Amino acid sequence: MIEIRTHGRGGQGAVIASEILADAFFREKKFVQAFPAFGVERRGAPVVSFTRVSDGEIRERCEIYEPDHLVVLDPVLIETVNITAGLKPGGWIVINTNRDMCGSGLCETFRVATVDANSIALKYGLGSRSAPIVNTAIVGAFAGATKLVGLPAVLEAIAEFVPVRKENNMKAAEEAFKSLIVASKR
Amino acid sequence: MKKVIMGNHAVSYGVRASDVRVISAYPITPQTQVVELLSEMCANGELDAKFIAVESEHSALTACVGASAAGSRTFTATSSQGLLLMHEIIHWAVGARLPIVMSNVNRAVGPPWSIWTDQNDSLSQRDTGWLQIYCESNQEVQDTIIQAFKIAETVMLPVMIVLDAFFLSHTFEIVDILEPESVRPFLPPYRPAKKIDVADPHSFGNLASPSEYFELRYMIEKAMEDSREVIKRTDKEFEERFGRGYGVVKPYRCEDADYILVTSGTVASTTRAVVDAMREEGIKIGSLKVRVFRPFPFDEVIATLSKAKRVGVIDRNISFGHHGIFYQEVKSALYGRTDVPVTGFITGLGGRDVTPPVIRTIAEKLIKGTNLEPDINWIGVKI
Amino acid sequence: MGEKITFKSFKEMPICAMSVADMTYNLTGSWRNVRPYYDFKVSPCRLGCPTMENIQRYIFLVTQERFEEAWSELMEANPMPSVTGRVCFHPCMEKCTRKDFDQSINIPAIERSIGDRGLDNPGWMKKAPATKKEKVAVVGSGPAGLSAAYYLARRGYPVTIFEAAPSLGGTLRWGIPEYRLPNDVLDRVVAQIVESGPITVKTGAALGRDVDLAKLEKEFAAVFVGVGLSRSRPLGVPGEDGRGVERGLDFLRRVNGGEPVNPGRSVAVVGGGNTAMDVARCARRSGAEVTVVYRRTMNEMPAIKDEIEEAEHEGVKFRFLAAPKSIERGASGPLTVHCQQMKLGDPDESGRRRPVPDGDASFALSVDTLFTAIGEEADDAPYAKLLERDGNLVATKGEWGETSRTKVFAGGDVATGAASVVEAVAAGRKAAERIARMLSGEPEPAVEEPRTISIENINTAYFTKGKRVLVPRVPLDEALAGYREIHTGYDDRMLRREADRCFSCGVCNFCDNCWVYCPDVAVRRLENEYEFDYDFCKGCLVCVIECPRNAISTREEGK
Repeated sequence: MIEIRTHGRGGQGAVIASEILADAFFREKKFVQAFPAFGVERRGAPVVSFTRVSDGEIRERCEIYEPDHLVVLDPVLIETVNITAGLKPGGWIVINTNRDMCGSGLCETFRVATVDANSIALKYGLGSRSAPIVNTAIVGAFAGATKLVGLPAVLEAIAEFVPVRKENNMKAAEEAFKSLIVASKR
Repeated sequence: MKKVIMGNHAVSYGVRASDVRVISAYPITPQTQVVELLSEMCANGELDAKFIAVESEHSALTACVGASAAGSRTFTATSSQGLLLMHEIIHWAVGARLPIVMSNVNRAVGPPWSIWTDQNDSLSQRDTGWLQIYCESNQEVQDTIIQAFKIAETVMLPVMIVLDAFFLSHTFEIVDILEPESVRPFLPPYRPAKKIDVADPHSFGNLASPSEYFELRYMIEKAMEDSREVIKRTDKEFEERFGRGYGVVKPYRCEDADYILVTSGTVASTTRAVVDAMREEGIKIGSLKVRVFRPFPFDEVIATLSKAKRVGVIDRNISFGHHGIFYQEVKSALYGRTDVPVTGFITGLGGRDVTPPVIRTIAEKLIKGTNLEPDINWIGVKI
Repeated sequence: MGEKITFKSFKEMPICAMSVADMTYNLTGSWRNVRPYYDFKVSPCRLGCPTMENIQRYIFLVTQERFEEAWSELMEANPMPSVTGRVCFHPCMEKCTRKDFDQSINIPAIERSIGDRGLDNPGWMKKAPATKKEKVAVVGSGPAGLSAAYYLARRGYPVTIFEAAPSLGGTLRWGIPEYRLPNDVLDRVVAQIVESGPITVKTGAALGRDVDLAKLEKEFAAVFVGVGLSRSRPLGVPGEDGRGVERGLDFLRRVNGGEPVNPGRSVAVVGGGNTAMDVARCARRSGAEVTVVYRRTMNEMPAIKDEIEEAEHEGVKFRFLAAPKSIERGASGPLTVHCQQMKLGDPDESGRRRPVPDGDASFALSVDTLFTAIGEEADDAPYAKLLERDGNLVATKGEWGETSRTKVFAGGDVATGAASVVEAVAAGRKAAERIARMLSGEPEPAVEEPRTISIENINTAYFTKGKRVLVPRVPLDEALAGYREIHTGYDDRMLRREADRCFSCGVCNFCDNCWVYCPDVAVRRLENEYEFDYDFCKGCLVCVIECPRNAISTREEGK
C-alpha cells in the first residue's frame, strides 16, 4: 500500500489534488481511497488530505500518520507546519516552488522534486495571480517524479474531476510532468 | 460502471437506481452532498422525482410521510441534529407503516457543535421501529439503499441507512454504480395495498382506542421479526444479480478465534486489518461486524461469539448512565445463552480517529484481561 | 346508515390506524339537549325603511353580482330606486348595525346603482298585462301616485293617472332641483313605471278643475288621491306681498322648468326644511350671496342633514333664531327685512324646543330677494265636499290610506302633511295593496311582529373595521356653475366594495362558517341553503357562535 499526504491551503485545491491522484491510480487498476483531514476550512488555512493506493482492498479507514510520500502545494507551509511528520525515509516530497530546495535539509532524508506550479498555472489561466490553482500541475509533477502513476492516467483523472478548463488543466499537468526538477544532496 | 466517488454520492446513486418518486430534504447544515446531487439529478431529468425542499428536517420527513401514504416511493437524507428534529415523525412513519428510506450520516450531536462522526444520533432512534443498517464502504452504502427499499416495501416499515461522517461520507473510493435499468427487475415499482386515494376515501392516522392500539403495536413488532428473513432473502437475491452480498453480520476469522472484537461502521473495516496483523503474530483473534442493528441479529451474534474465550465490543457511542450501546445489545443477546465474558470499549467519540494502534490497544487489553473494567473502558481519553 | 365493525382478531385489522368504515351507525344526535335551527330575522335597516325594502337581500345579491335579481327584489318595495337612491333621507342608515361597529352602509348609493342598472337594462322590466277588469283612477303623479299606479298595474288592474301638469312626476319634477335629481333620470323612471303595465296617462287634468272626484268615484272601481301639497304657506308679516318677495316653490318650479332666474346679488331664504335648502342652493347657482333665516337652531332644522351640509359646503350662510316681522321696500333697490331675535323655550308637541321672542332684540337684513319656504299646505277645495278632512288634509285611517269613502284612498303629503319621498312611495304601495285586496276579496295578511337583531348579536370577530365607500362628487366650482348632478354614483368596484361591508344581519349569506366549523359534520350544504343533520348534531352550538350574523337560533329539546 502507498499512502500519500497532500499539504496545501484552503482554496488551492489540495483535496481535489488527492482525489485526482486516487482517480489516476484507479485508472491503472489499483484500489484507491482519498479524503480530506476533516476540519472547519477557510481560505488560506493549512489543509491536509490523504490518498491510499493498494493492489488489494483497502481496509484502513483512518487518517494517514506515516505517509510514503508528500505533495506540498505551498512551500511556505514548510516553515509553519511540520509537514514531514511521520514521512518514511526515502519518500518523495513533491513541492510547488521556484526555489532551489537543495540546501533545505529535506534532501538529506527524503527525495525532493520541485516544480514552479504557480507559473505553470498562471500560464494556462488557472486561478489568479494572487491565488493560482496549482493542484493539477502538482499532480502532473508527482507522476513525473515518482513514476508511480502514468501521465495518461493523470490526464484522464483530471478530465473526470475538474469541472472547468479541462484542456488547460491537462496541459498544466503535462508541463509540470516534464519540467519538474529533482533536487540533489549537496 | 465503476467510478471513484464520495460516500454521500454513493447514497445519491443508490436512490437514483431505486426509481424514487419523491425526495424531501432540508438543504442546509447538517445536510450533506447526498441531496445536492439528488436535486441536480431531479433538475436535469436523470431522476424522475419530485424534490421538495422544506424549512426543517421535521417537515422533510413529514412530507415523506404524506408522499409515502399517497403511494410514492420516498427518500430523505439527514444527519445529527436534523435526525433529532425528525424524532416525532420518525415514530409516526413506523406507526403509519410507511416504507420510507432515509440515509443518516452519523455525526456527533451538540453541544459542543461537532460535524464529526459518532453514533449517538442514530442510536437515539433505536426504539422507534425503524430498521437500521450500518455500512462500512461506499459500495455497501449504494447497494444497501437499493436493498432497503425492497425490504421496507415488503415488511411495511421504514429503513435507516447509516454511514460514518467523513470516513465514509466525504471519502472517495471506487463504487460500481448501478443503473436503474439493471435494478428494476430486482426492485419493481412500489404498489401499496392501501394508500391515500380520493376514489377510495379513508381517514389515516386516526385515533385508536385501547382495544386496537395494542394489536397495532404487536403487528409492528411482528413485521420487525419478519424482516429478519426478508433482509437475508433480499441480500441473497441482490448477490445473485449483482455479485455482492453483505449479510446481517460479517464475521472475520472467527471460526477458531479465542478473542473477538465486535464492531460497526468504518471501524469494522480497520479492525480487519488489525486482525490480520495480529494473526500474523499467531494470536487467535477475529472480528464481528454488526451490519443490521435493528432488528438485532441475535442468532448470528450468539452463534459467532459463543465459541470465543473473550469478547470485546467497540462502541463509538455512549448511553450515559449505562454503557456503550452495542455492548448492551451484545450482552443482552448472550445473557443466559453462553458464559463468554464480554467487555465494552468506548472510543472515537466526536470523530476522534480510530486507528489500527487504537484497535490494537483494545485487542491487547482484552487478551491480557487485567486492568479491565467489567463494562466500560474508555480508550484514548486524555485524563 | 353505517354498520358497526368489530375485529375478531388482529389479522382482520389494517396494519396502520385507518378507517375501514364510517361511524354513521352511531347516531350521536341523541346526545343533544339544545337544537340549533336556521332562523332568519329581519335586518334592522329594513325595519328602518318606510317602504320595507329588503335591503339585506338586494345587497347580498349585489355581492353575488346577480344584479337583475337585486333590482327585482328592490322593485318589489319601491318602483323608483333611482329616485330614492338620490333624494331619500335614508332612515335605514340610522338603523344599520354597522353604525355601531364603524360606519353604516351607504344603502342609498347601492340602491341608486341598482335602480340605474334597471333603467339601463329595459329588458329587466317585463310588462304586466291587464288581467283584471276593475279600473282604478290615480289622481296626482308624484311619488305616491306613481307608486300606487305601479303596484296596481303590476297586479293587472288598468290604471288611469290624472295629472294637472303637462308631465308626470309631481314634486319630484317641480320641487327637487336637477343637481339632486336630473330630469332625464326622472323621465326614464316615469317612463319605466308607465310602461310597466296597463297604465293610461291624462295630463293637464287638474282635480277640481278638469276632473271631479265624485265622478271618478262613480266611473272607477277605486280612486287613489295623491295630489300632494300645492300651496306655499305665507309668512303672515307686513310687506310680504310685493316686489322682491317670492315663494320658494315657485322659484324652484321656474328653475326646474329651465326658465332663466335672477334673484339679485343678495338673497334671504326663510325656513329650515328641504325646500329652503333647495331654494338656497339654486339661488347660490344663480350667483347670489344667500342667507337662510331660521327661527330655531340647526339642531331643529327639519331638512335632511346631508342637504344642510351640502348647502354649507356650497357657501350658504345661516342666521338662526331669527324670524322676519316686517318687510320694507322702496320703489327700487334692496328690501329691508326686519327680524325678531328668538330664543328656545319649552319643547312643543313635536319634541323640538319652541322658539320664543328674545325680548325686544331685533335686527334688519338688506336683500334683493326674499324667498319664503316655511312649508306647504294642501288645497282642499277639490275634495272638501266629498271626504272627511283633518285640517285641510285628507283624513285617513290606519296605514292603508282608507278615507271616509270606501272606494277612495289617499296617500302621500295630502294625507300626512309634508313628509318624504320614500314615505309617499310607501303610502302609494300600501294603498295599492289594500285596493287590490278590496277588489279581489283577498283576506288581509296576518301581521307578525318582526324579530330583528342588534350589534350584540353580531360576531364582530369576523369583520374588519373600515370606512364607508364615499360617493364621488364633482368639484365645488363645477357644481356651482350649473345644475348638473353633484354625486356621480358608484362605479362597479365601489359598489362591490360597499356591498361587501354588509353584515347581512340575521340572514344567512352562505358564508359556510356553520358548515366549516361543525365538529360533527352535521351541517349539510345544499344548493341554496344549509340544513342540520339532527341524527349527528350534538347541540354543541358552535354553529350558533360562529355564525357571524345570528341567522341560527336555538331551542331546547322537548320544549
